[in-house]
Amino acid sequence: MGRRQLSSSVLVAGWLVATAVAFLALASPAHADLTTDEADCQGAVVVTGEDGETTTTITQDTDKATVDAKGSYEGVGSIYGGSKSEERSYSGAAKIDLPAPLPDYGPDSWAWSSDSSTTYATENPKTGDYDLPSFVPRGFYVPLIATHSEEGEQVCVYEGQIKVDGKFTDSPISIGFAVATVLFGGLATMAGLKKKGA
Amino acid sequence: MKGRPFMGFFFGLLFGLCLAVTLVLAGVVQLNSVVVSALPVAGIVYGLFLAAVAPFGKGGSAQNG
Repeated sequence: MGRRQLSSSVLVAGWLVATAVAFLALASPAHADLTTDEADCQGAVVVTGEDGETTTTITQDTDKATVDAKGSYEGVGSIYGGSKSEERSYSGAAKIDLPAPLPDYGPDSWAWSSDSSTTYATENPKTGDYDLPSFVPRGFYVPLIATHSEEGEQVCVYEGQIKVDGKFTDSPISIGFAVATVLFGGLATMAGLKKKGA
Repeated sequence: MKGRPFMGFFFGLLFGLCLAVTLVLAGVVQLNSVVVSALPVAGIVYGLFLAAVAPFGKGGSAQNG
């Protein structure tokens, strides 16, 4: 294969990949806020930044939110329970939605449940501190999903996006993946070199 | 196939995986986008395609000649 054919082949392959990426990017899922609301679902998480003054409030109506890499949070929620007063079970959790085949990410501290509750609102706010290490990539949105079920039936589903404040170049992991992409791209292209003895 | 299909498969997969992660970290595509799942497959296709249209240049012919 001559130099001109080589250039054409690489261009065709690159065009195919770029076209596929562009097509699939256009087809990526859209985000809403409350995609299921069977019980007048209300929720709010107030995230306070490292300086103790900057706050970000995420509610059931928030589509996108940016938080500091270090800070604290306080969350509350409620649903409409009507005139019911008998004990019932409920459960819920917030998770980061990862692409298949990876499982969604959500630590136990992001979940809540009870087998015998008679209340329909948070009595004690769920609080905690967090401190992301400097190597953790930041500056991009990740999909956040929160769900709440009453007696096994899902009544609230929230879908939003959350971002840790920062830039692509703030994390050595991000830079490492960019370098690895160039390296492996070059090695994959070398698959077109003729085998010895062929 | 005169190219290197195993090399194309292996490094094409790694290329696609790293490109997907890089695009997510750069904020170009969303983490739960189908692009993230599709790029590794596209990388494999890229590597195998180049292996199929090989060889490049005239180095191989000169060695045999």
